[in-house]
Amino acid sequence: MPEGRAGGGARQGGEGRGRETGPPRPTPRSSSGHVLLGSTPEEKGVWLPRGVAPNPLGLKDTPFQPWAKAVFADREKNELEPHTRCKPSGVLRQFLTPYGVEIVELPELQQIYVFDIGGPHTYKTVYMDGRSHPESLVPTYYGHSIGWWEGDTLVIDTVGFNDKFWFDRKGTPHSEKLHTIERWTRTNMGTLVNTVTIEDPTYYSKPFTVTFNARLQAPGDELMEYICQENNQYGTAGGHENPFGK
Amino acid sequence: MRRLLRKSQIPNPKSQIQTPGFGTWVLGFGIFCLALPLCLLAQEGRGGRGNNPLGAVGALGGGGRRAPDRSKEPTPRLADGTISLNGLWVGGGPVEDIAAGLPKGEKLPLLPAAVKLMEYRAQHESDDPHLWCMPMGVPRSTPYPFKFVQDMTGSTASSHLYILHEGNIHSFRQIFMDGRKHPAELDPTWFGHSIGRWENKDTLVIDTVGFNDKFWFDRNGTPHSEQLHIVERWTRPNMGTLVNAVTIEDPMYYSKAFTVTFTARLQGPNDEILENICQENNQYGPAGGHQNPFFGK
Repeated sequence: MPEGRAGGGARQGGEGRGRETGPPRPTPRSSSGHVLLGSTPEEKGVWLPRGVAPNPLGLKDTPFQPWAKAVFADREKNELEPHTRCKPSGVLRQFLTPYGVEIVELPELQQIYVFDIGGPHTYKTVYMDGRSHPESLVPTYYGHSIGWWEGDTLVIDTVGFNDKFWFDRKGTPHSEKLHTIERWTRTNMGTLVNTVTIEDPTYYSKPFTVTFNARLQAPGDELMEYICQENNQYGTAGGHENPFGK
Repeated sequence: MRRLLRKSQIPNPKSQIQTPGFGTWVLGFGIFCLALPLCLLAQEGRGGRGNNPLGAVGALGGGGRRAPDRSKEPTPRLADGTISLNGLWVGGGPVEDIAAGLPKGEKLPLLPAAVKLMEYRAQHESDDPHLWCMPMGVPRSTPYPFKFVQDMTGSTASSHLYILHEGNIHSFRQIFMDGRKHPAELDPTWFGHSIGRWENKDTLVIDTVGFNDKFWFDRNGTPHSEQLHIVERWTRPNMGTLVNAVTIEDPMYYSKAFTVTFTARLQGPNDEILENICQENNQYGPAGGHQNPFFGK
């Protein structure tokens, strides 16, 4: 079933449950001093966004190219949103469902995984082994991500997106030329700040940056199973035409 | 490097040249593949029901690129001696028929209710939730690879372990390794509630309950109920091989517990899991004119 408008399902997004109370605890580090973004020995790293999916990106002045506004307007009118039809949504939206994500770091294998619950209930891989993006990329929903540390900030560079998802519910557009650079900092135990620079000359006259926070969930909170494509009332069961059904 | 060649029924090698929508075409073909009984890359040579319009696997000359044989190399281990499950794997579970994993001469201990349900499913093959992009549950496998996300610092370090699947669906199983018990009250799910532990650093034991009854064990439609209890024992006898011995217990459909064993083969070192989103352009669904068995339920 799709997530409800106000953040349906067992886990309510936004304020309330799981919030860090009291003074913020210091950023957790491994024994070698490296910042831990995911689980610590004491607590799992399940992150919920502050607030539900951004609507729109939260910008006052998005540097749309002239034709981009027309796409945006069309999407507002015809809400054929891929997310509610159980398609993955790259970049911010993987984080910004009411159900949150879990970050799992495997430093020995030089990989980081981000598991999401809501939407497609899938995972993204970030390659931390110094590789470059392949020259020939098959466009995907989550793109091809490479990452590295700059001090205490994890930098993730992603290309190879397809153009089939929407950044947000309003339908802020992008093309296959999309290139994102995310900078994640865990400012304290309970707060993750993600600053995303978005570059897409097809739709935007210049790169722009969006920031959102995530909040660590209470210990004991786990990822739950969520299978969007089962009984999705927003799909054919709800009498809606499948825009991909051609 | 992308494993474009792995989708074996690509008729024209030139079509591998990148064209707009190529990725979708390959994925779409992959989905088409799932609907045909003979697309069994993980069971090359076993054959299928023999009515694949494209002919036998490999008939068009494509052929899945077989991963190099690494069965003579020793099992890799972590610093504390625990076996490493790291690598990209294909196999490890039933695709066509779970009975293929039984010891020679044994049959599934089906109760009459199970036989009846299988007969019904044989006449309603399109009811297989797998074709509708639902999770395949446990222990079903697909021709697509999977991998373990194992804490590499040692067997007691991490509280969790994940199994990532390329398809169907492009999702993950979560296995709790911190000694917790199954909850008293379970919410039935496709992948169940899994708790795991290491035995002698050589065997990963995963105990799972809390399944729903919606997935099929295999294409044949071998059934189970919410009473299903599965214990998987994963071992890695050598670098290139994973063995999964699965004990299945379900008093609603089986007169006794039984064990099926499957192996998985390590894939090439540069192979990766591809993004494979079944619910995009699934031709087996309404786009293919098939009635959705879940509609209205």
